[in-house]
Amino acid sequence: MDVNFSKQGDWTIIAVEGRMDTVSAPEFEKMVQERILQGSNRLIVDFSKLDYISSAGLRSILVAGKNSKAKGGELACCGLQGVVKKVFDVSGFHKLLPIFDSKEDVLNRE
Amino acid sequence: MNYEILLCMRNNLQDLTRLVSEADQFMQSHCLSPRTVYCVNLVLEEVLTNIVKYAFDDASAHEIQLILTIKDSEVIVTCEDAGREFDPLAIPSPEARDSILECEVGGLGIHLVRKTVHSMEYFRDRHKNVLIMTIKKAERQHNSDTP
Repeated sequence: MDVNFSKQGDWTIIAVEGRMDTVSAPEFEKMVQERILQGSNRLIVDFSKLDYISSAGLRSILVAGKNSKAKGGELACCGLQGVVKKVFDVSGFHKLLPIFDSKEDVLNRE
Repeated sequence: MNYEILLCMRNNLQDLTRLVSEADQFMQSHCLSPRTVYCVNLVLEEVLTNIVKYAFDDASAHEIQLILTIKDSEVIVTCEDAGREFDPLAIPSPEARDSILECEVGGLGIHLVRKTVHSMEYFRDRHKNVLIMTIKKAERQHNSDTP
């Protein structure tokens, strides 16, 4: 899985690409936690190039969401499509995390 | 016509990655739709990860056997391991939460498997767990509630 971090205002945009599975999810979780500890607690995860997510990937998103919220921030998701979006829906994650069509929708919310 | 492959792995994550990749190639070679391949991949990863992480108490290597059968309208996954008895059908679904802070981190894998498969059967046979799961083949356009 490729993970690309960028900044826009006080938001950190995390673009994920490829497979978020049992092997790659723990590394993702570690990378995001480092950013949160450095003070980046407003996060947008862009899933538009993600091909596959399993429960391990969902768990890492949940942990990142909990950790950002505990620091007074938040985690928003965007770009969900196809089966990745279905997996989010059947897991009930669409009720737990704010979901937007695109990162622009998150940024324009303010 | 049915197409079948027997895949074996040891209880570690490197072998799990190899097995999922071999299963993926087998399905691609029989022209299954991307959605069907995703669903089988997901079921394999969730079930095998549970076995690798929780089925064995010692540090020894243990074999896990998998048979993938492609039929006209479905894919059947049969998984056998000699780990501790574990019936995924007996696990309650995780409680729905409205707040991220209340939500438990674990327990999602089996829930996802249940939501993905059409049917699931478990039995214990000569000290082995046997899990048989049927995944309906999906066309490119698919509108059901399953992934």
